[in-house]
Amino acid sequence: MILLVVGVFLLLFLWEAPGLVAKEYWRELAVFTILLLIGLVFSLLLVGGVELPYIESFWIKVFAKVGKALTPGS
Amino acid sequence: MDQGKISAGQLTLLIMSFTIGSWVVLPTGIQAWQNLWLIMFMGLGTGLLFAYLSLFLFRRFPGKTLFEIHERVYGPVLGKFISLCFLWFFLQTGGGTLAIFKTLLRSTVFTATPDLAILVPLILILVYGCRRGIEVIARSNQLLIMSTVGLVLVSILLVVNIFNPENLLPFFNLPFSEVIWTSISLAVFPFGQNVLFMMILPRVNRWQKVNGAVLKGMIGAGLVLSTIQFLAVGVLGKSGQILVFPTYEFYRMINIAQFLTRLELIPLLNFLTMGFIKTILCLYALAVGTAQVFNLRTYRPLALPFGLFLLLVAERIFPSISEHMRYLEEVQTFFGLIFSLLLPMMTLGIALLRGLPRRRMAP
Amino acid sequence: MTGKLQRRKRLKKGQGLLLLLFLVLAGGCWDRRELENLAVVLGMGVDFPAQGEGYEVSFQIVRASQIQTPGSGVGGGGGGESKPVWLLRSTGPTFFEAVRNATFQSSRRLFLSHNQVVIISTEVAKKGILPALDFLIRDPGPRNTQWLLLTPDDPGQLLDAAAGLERVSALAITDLIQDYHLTSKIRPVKIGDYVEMMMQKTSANTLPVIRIKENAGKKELLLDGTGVLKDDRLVGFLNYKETRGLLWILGEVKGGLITVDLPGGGKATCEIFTAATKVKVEARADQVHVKIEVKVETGLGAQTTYDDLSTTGQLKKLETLQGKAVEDEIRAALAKAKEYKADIFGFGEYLFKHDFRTWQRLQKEWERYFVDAQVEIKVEAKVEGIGLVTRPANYQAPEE
Repeated sequence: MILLVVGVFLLLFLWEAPGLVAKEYWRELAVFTILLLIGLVFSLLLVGGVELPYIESFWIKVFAKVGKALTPGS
Repeated sequence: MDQGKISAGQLTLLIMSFTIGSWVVLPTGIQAWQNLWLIMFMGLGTGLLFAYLSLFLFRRFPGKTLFEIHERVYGPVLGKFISLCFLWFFLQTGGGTLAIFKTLLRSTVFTATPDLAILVPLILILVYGCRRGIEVIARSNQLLIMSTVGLVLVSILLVVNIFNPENLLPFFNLPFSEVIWTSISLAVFPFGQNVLFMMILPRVNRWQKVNGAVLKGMIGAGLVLSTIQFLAVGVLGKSGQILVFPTYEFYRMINIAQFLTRLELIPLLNFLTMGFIKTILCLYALAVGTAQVFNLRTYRPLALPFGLFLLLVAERIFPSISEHMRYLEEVQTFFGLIFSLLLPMMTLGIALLRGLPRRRMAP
Repeated sequence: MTGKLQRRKRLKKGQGLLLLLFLVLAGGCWDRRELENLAVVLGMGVDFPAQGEGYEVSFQIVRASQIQTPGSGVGGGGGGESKPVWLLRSTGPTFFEAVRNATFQSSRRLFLSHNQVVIISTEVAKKGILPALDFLIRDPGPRNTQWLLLTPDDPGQLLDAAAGLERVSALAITDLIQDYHLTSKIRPVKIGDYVEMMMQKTSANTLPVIRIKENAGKKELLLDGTGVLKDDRLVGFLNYKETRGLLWILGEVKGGLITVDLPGGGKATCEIFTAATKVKVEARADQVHVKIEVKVETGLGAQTTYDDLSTTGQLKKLETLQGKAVEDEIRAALAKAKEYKADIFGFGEYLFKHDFRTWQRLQKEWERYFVDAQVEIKVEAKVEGIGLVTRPANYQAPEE
């Protein structure tokens, strides 16, 4: 499964990169690669079964804390 | 950068689709269920106030996207940081929309289809459309929003035999504070999310017409949403309050002489296309925004990684629809207010204080 | 020229995007189910199992091949083989489990989307209906247009009873229910209506009752009155007359007959052409006042005397008698509902809709207000038709 994910990402990279190299868009290539790597890391974490926090659950917790801090005495 | 241009009319239609987007299948403010269609107009009014604040900012910097304005007002470092916050907002909005439609499909018709089988093809199409530019998006949207409006008009005729006006009573049985709260939460979502169009306004071919286009788009969307809500209350009555997807259920009820029944798939697909436009605009704003933050010459290669991000977000945004409903109730309004009101207001305030823009710029 | 060409090209691209979008629907094939692999359920019965906990659900499943050739089974048919339906019983701790457990016996997966009727045993109804039926409301398959019925008998046996002229008893029940307007002595209720009523705090629900009638050794179906459910639990029954009273108040009388005793002996039966009801609920000084106005137009259909009822004077008398009869029915329904302390008429709902503030004040003790409610009934009956004859053939006018 992990190999499959890495393979897919490699394929995506090879599909996009040559065009950018040919046009000498180096900055674009760098940003693209970094973003893809971030995506790869998170995908691997997900596939690897790491329990990433759910985004909205995270916000609910944060805002509950903020709300408590803003209402003193309770 | 995208050189495509859209007309003011196309902008109006895009705003309509974007606003109808996901609210139509998962309404917020469900505690006000019976009066929601009326409060919708109050929300629209408040939402227009927010929008005009942002538009005022845009008219001071015509031809600039929100992120370019940030850099001019706050300087490069702080400006980029605020832009990054907005990027997160777009990512969460787009991913959330995908997740809602995924949940809707999974809990109604595609009950056995795996998440990825729904999301991956959708993402590929989103990326393809995003790379084609705003012109193609706007053009495909024309047909989709027309059919949605048509559908809403036709559904008025289809429900005459099951519509019970008594269900709309009583009007205004809510405490005043709840009405105000609901209208603010409606102003933030669906209307407030239109702050995303600050990334797209410079692509309108005549910037003088932008104000009118935004006004028309938001009013149009408000009318569509209010009509659907009005019909849903009349058909479903109070029991709509316990449904997760009231609009879908309302279309399930349609029954003309035992013959014209089970029409719910048509609106389902139709609203899916609204969500599609909403997500693709989020993706476009993400790619273009990031390209501007990093001073890139083209946004196109970024569409693919951000499509992937949307997929990841959609998978990890809420563990279940009930958690999402809790989020809508408790957090969404505050979270959205930061982006659709507070940050634009701050930017405008600082721009005014600093007397920006100093030189008159060519539009 | 090139500009136009380019524009056309771009338009094509926009359409391409749309076409691609519809590709997403291909994902729906994941859950593809073919008709020949499905067991189409038309009727369901819910009961408690003889032993143990949970629910026993009976399914009436159609044998599709038998339905398609209706003529084939007529000439004797060859015993149980040719029966167009198959009755399957399955138990489970919840309704859902019972549905899934049916696959222990059925070679095909049950398909509930076309189900027409759900029959609930009174035992289950006494314990609460929503806990039993939650699956049917929550799951996207079954529709909320299914008819709900109560039965004092075993729901499974009821579904297995002879369907009269129809081949499938569930469809026969659907027809029986939908013919309610011929008598207006039955009140059909859909699952969706039931849930809607439950959302209203002060209202009580009713469900039609169906039972088995033995006729020359054969089991047949009979619609028999109405069950009253308060707070989702069965508390009592209404007979035909009381059910009619309920329908008068709800304004759901669409037809039917009114029979009155004539002062000089004998009876006259009139058919209801049109009926309209206006209800008004007001709360004054700690008492609820209800005004019920019924307007009904009828036609003389049969008489069992030799008198001439067709004169204007006689028709006037008939009208008054009919008004009395209707009022009687309404009073009977009111008395029963007050006895059960169940607001089956939606008086509370009327207040909720038209006078929200008062409703808020009264709703906590609505039961008390309902029982103490003052009801004023006004019936305006009109006899419009007399059929094809005026007086009986041997009628002799009394000599003056």
